[in-house]
Amino acid sequence: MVEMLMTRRAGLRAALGAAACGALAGRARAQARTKINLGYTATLGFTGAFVAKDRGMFAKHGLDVELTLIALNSNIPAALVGNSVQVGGPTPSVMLQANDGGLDLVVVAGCSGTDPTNTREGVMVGKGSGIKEPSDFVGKKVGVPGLGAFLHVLFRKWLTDKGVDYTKVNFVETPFTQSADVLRSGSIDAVITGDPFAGRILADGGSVAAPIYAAVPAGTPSIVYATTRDWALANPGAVKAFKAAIAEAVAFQEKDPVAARDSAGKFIKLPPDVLAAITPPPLQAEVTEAQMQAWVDMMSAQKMLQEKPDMSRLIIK
Amino acid sequence: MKGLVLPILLVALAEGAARTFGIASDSLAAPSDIAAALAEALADGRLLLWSAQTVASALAGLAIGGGLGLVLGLLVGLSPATGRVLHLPIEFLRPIPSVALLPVALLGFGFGYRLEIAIVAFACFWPVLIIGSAAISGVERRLLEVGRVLRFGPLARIRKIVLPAALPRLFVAFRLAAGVSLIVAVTVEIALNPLGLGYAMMYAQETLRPALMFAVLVWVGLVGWAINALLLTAQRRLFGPAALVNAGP
Repeated sequence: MVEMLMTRRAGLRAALGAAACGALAGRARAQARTKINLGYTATLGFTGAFVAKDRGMFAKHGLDVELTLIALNSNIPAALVGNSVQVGGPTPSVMLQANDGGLDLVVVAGCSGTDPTNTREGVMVGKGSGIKEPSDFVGKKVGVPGLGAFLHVLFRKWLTDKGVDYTKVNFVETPFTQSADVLRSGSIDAVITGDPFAGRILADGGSVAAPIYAAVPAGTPSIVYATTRDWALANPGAVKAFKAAIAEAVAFQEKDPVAARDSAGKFIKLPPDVLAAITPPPLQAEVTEAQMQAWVDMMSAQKMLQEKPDMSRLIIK
Repeated sequence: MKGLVLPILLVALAEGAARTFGIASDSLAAPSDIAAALAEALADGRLLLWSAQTVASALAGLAIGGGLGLVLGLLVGLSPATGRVLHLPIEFLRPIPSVALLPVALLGFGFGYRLEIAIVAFACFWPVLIIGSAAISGVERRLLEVGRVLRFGPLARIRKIVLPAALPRLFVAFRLAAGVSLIVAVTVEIALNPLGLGYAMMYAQETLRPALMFAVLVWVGLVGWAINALLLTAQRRLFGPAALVNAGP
């Protein structure tokens, strides 16, 4: 009932908005630029947004977008619901868990996806770790960027696929920035990480013990642009414009990856040599129901969800 | 001067080690690089802007939390019956770490000063309440009787007798809360709020600039030290040795 009321209210708001737009057509087009604060985390997966902001795709579509760095991906749902940011980039695991906990977030557009051929990154071990087979992980201490985070879920899926009981592996939270250091110090046996840290570990004589990206099909979303259902219903034009701008930015990155990286460097102020050594994950503006369903299946198998989400309402069309 | 020997020795050792062995870590930096990053951030004004954001939030939180703590401390200190009624809720709420309220506060306030001020105020409320109520209930009973003999009303009694008698210890409570306010403000920024010194530190770490991260860390230490030194001087000037005794709760 409450939901119906809210939907009705949001619908009314949208209708009023549309009427106002119609009445003021010319003037509105000239001045009204929807303001969006976009919450991102320090990863090149957000290159689409960086390019769209830096190269004017957002502005072209009538959006005035500000970017705010959020330290932890798991804080993005609260930032969305508190209206601190209107669009954010949660990982599918963070978003689905937030919805499972009672929030109502929807996918606006795709952000980045996985690449099964990526064997440079994944679960990394130091020289002489003794971890050679998947079953060698049993009883070992493995650093993950966050318990229940996207990469943690992916690794548990990889272990399950290889017939290993992941409950027999000890997981500890290890921030990306410290992954090379803690592995070197020997306080953990393996760590899930990405570039540039993966490169550091490889240079130290380490290797990838679990190429976890191979556990899921290409393009499985690793981050999605999401918002609250209320905001999406109240701003249908902005939602479409956002997706269109991201699609243009993704096309731009495919054509000119070097220029796209320059744009990303303006928002993630990595030292230039480090930035040059990182390959961004594949960007994608589209997300399908089937792709999100794959996440739901993975998380349900790992007992991370209490209820089955309504997939038909998860992605704003 | 003697106090400086150990820190200088440690810094020299760290610099020597960094130059001899090189740094193969994304989370460490040589002291000379840290000093250079500090100088650069100071020169272009970034560090001062971040400091202003953090200190403003800390002070506003201190004023609100400390003010409310003082009012409730007065009530509890002056009326043992109120103290007994409030004992359970106070002891229940007091141990909640203020940063544990962050997700809830984010929903209510969103990013920005209000979020940070609310969390700082919650953290500053308790030391002022606890020390304040103890200071007020410890005011010499005979002084209160004098007030009664002089037929002072309740407000006049508080203003002319209770507050002056408890002031040195209230100031100690305020000084403790000031230290807490800076710690909590920086913690809120590191964890969540895109503002101030804590956010700058987190950003520097995430973008692999350990020298800048340590530069901000050193600066936070200096700011904390300066605020404490300022308050200690004020305390000595205002109250002399009176503030240094019975400083505990």
